[in-house]
Amino acid sequence: MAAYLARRLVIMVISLLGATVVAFFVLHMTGDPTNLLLPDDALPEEREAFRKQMGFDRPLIVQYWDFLSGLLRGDFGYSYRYQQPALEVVLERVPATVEMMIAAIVLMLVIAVPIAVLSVMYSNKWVKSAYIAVTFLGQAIPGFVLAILLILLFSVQLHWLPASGNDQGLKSLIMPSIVLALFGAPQIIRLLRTSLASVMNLDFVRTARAKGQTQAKIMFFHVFRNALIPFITILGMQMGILLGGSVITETVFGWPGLGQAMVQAIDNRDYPVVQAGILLSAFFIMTINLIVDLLYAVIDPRIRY
Amino acid sequence: MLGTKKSGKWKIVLLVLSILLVLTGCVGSGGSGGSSIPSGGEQTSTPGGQTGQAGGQDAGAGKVIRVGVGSSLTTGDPHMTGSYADQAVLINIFDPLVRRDASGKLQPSLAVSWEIVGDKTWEFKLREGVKFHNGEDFNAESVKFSLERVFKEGSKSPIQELRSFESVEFVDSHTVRIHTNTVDPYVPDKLALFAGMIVPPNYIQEKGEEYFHSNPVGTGPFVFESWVKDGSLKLKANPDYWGGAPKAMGVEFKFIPDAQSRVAALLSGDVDVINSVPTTAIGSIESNANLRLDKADGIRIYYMSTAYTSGPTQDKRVRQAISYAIDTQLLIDKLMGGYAVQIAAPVATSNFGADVDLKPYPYDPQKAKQLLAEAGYPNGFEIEMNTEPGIYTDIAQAIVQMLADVGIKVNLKPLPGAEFDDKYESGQLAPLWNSGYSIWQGDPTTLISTFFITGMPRAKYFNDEFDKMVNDMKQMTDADQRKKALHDILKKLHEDAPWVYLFQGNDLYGVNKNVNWSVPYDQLLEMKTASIQ
Repeated sequence: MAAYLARRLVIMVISLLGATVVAFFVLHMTGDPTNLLLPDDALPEEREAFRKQMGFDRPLIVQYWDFLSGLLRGDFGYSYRYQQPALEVVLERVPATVEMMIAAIVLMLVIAVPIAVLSVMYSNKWVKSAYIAVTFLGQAIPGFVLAILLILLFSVQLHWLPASGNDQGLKSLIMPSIVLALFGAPQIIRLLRTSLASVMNLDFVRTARAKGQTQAKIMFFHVFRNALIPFITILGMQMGILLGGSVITETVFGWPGLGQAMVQAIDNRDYPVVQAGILLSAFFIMTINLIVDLLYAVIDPRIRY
Repeated sequence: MLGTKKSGKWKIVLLVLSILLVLTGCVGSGGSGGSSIPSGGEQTSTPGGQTGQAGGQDAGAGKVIRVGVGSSLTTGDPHMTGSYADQAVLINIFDPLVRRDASGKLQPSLAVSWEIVGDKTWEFKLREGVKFHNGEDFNAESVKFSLERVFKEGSKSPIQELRSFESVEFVDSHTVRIHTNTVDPYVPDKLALFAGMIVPPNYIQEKGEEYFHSNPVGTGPFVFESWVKDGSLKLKANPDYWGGAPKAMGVEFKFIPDAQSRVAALLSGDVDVINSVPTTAIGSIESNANLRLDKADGIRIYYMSTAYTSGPTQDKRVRQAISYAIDTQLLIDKLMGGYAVQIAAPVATSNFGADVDLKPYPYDPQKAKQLLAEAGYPNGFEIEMNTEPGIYTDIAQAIVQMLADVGIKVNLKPLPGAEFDDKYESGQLAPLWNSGYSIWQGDPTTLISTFFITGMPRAKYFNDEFDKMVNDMKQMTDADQRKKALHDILKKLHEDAPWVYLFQGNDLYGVNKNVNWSVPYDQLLEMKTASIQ
């Protein structure tokens, strides 16, 4: 276990290093932010002086080394736009995004698990309808379209929910989390349903049934636990998808989180903030993946590292 | 059997979809009808209740005005941003030394008078009895500190306008002298915003620069309360404001970058005012009984650049022909929803020098063809054009068609925003390109020096005589003389047509009918005289 963990941590560090390369070079290939930072009528020599002062005139590889050695000291650089440390800018936004993601995950499970379980246990019309409605619509309607439809319905037409912002507590949270949850739910439903159905056909289920246990008991004490591994895997992957989806959702709903900060930073070529955001997201996803892998062993005693 | 099962699935999907569409579809047509009126009223009263808790005693005196703005505030420090959108919000917390009125004239603000006292010296008399929100006195020290913060060596400020400033001299507690290293008739103009915003020295020295970025203190009509970055900025009225207490109890700026979401927030009553209304949303605002569309002339001009270092557009007649070949009124009607006015030169209606006697080029394809023939291109020619995303691409596509009608074949290459910006800054765009420019300086001089003076990277119009005209004008300290010179410059630019001057886009605001305000002529969302019922 310890050896496995150590190996995973080393891989994680290497992956993060890869992320720094991508984040840094892809961004800097689009040019430096001088033009965005200086006023229109700045003279060419003023632009050059500014480049020099900011260090943009040095070779990219030198700038990268600078960036990397800063990272080792925990220094992500200084935001051009916000005039504060980039890591601070990003961390300030994390709570809002985490709040939205937790709400979305909870809602996703509340929608997906019952539909998947019921659709395996029963084959009546209503269960099927719900299954079809959620899986089809969830995947067919792009998040931003659904977002606008929801805003038009619940904010503009009915005046029940705020159209944007996160300052009204639960009310603000409803629409963004619906959009995110509906996007991820179909995958979970399909996968959970398949894996439940395959476990249903195994011998021990027949044995349980033969003992005279009820459907519900069989489902929750026998089948569900055995179907958990693929479920946890997909849940881990969903976190990454959610984080990506939150960029669009946050923009549409004016949610002051990480996604919106990143979009604004890209628009303004605020490289330190973009880099800090990418690295933080990468770290988050890798950590989730690691936790998922470790959970396998907890859930299924047959798995050992 | 299988067939019925399938159609059953589709029925459900279609049903859910159509319910969603029907419900939301009501918005466009039914929005102005019964349902939104009572609920709209309900909505606006809720936040009033909320602010009652915050403001307490003066209930009924006013409410908080909620403004949905398109670009979020980057810093609370007016000197640490080059973004006009930031100034548009910060003008509620800070006062500049001078303020430009709707006709482009400078008016007193924290400075009560100013005059030129030597070739390179300006004297400013300051307003007495003004205090910062933290109780600190406003005086010559605060002005010296604020200006030096921007132009002194080692300043972190992106503001470059004060490059002619050499020193600020403390004369007495309410008089300062500004010494410049060259003759600079624009000193007062440069202090109308950005660098001219006055900040409290003691507060900043005590609390530190970084604290000030997110906890601004100024002399303005509203006092900072709280700020969630990319979320909202809350301000409360400053009852001791030197210009009289504001009518509203406070202002809340909500940052909603997505245009459709901003409109939705207005339609749903989440905010009372929005800026930058997209042309696609004009109808839904005009047809709503609770809302109105407020319009200002605007300061943004739209143009196409034609002058170039090589090729047919070096010839003045070819450039004029292009100006004649474009049906600008059609562009305004079809692409701007009618909310724009044609222009004849690079100057916005509220600018200094806008009263120049010029008429836009009329739409006259015959004349265009004739000029092309005279220049030696009876059968037209082929040329490249760049454009950037957004409305500019729509304008460019329309122009390509119009120019094809007179025989000019344009190869349009739209560029992504960042690439366009880079080539724009470094002057590497194709011979033809189109864009827009906001003349917020109140005077087109900066624009003219940036785009038409030899040596600037973007200038492809090489004319020594013209360069001299502009340089001479920049030295003139007498306003009337300078205006006359500017008129001549604008006439020359009209005649030589290095740009096709298309139109000036109106600024559009969506406003709830219970809001009384003076529509900003300069995009500054100043709320000191605004009120809400």
